[in-house]
Amino acid sequence: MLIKGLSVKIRDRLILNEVGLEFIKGLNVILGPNGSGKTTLLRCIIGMIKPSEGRIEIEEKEKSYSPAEFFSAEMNVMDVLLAGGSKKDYMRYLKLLGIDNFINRNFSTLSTGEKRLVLIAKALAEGDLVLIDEPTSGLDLKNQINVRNILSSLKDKMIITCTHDISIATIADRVALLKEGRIIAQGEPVNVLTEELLSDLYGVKIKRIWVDDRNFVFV
Amino acid sequence: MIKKILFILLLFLSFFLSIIYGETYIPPNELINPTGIYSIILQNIRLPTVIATALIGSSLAICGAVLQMLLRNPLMDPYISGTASGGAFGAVLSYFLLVFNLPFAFLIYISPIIAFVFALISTLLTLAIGKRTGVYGLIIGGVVITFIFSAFVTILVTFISIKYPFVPSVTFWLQGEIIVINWYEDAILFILTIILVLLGIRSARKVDLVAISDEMAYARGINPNRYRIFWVSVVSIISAYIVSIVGIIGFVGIIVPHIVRRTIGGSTTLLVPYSALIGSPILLLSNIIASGILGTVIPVTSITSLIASPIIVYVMVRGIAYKGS
Repeated sequence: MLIKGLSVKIRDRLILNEVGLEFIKGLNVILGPNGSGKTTLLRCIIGMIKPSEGRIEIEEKEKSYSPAEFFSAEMNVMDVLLAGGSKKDYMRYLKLLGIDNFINRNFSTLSTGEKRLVLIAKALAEGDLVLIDEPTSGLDLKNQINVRNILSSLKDKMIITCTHDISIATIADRVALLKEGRIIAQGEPVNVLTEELLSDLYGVKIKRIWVDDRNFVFV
Repeated sequence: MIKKILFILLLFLSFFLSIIYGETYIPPNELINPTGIYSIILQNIRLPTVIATALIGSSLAICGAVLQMLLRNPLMDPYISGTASGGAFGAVLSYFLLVFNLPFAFLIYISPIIAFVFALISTLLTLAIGKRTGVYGLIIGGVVITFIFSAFVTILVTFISIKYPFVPSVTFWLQGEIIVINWYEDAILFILTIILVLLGIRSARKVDLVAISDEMAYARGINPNRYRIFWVSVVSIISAYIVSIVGIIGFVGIIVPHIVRRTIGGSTTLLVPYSALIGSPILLLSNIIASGILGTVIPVTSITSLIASPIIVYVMVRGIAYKGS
């Protein structure tokens, strides 16, 4: 999937500036600080926002979306999963995320993090192209690690997530850095997640530490 | 299951009570083989009115439920949204043009359509105001639009009644009065209600999705705002027709979905059928009080608003814990 020259202007503010991206099967992460235009990018992909320039080339795929903000509807988790009329193997993804016991609970009584897990499970079950806005936001450490591992293991789907959580980017198949509406780097994590680029992206000094010969973390 | 049975029993009970209690009391033994004046009242006034009341109760309840889901606001119903007042204005306007020989007087022939047009306009105005002003914006917008259109109704009806003192009064239009003597009106109400129920059940999962998230709806190929306009149009058609025959009946759409949510559940797949089931008895029982049991006829919306008020206050005090759309 390709994005070429995408620009989005909202009320005279240039939110995305000639964004060019390539996505592959597996986990694609768009990393950027708050306000860099990540959610706008995702919304362009699903057609909610029309770009002022550029285009998006997607093959015909079933899309799904897990939003950062949503309405806390008063219904069963089962009904939330069935919303939209799809019939998919939701239980499989609920089990993966460790929330299969939520199935009969009232969605509005779950914690924010639990609700987000439900919507992530729904999106993973329904789409071949899965868009997730801030997958680990609001999650405790155990769930953060769990979600990270699950997202990186689903190689037959094209998952596009945007986040400011660097630890997801380190295990991605492809990473892009979005700074103030511009892509400043994209490619494999080891090449993109360098100290210089990340310090530039976040405006703070960041040090990269190798944990073993494949994994690294940041402080 | 037991709740379902209780609600069905409630429906039959309120139906039965509505048939015997009204401006004239009809003794139950007269129901099996009605004679004389009871037969006339039953066939020409009581039965058509009771059936209309049941159908109107169901329709308004379903409209309220769907609006609440799509607009993410548990205090929405066709009255608060301004729809009913717009419809009343449209209906009265067409009479006004005719009575005073003004241009477009021919519109009287399509008066329900004019009612629909203004019901739609008033709702869109409410949505436009409400969109920008947070969770309560929709309600305040609806109240303002209702004020405006109700004021116009009052003014126009006052002028009409100078010339023709026996037209339906301002109170009829703004507060409702369910007296139906035409089986033809029941037939139309029946068709509209059936369409609404079937459409509601078929669309239930879609409505649920649009309620939860616009982004999720777009991803599944649904344009949520166009979908909202579609349902607003459906609600406007039904509300306009109801208003043109019985005036503004408000608050049923708030009371009933609230009861369904508390007793059964809040998915549209449940809200539609159960609102239809509970909407009838609620309005039937309100109309029993309204239609003469207290000695005189009281406008129906005053009764429904009293029932709804504690619910409205409760919802507000508990905090509308929902994010606005």
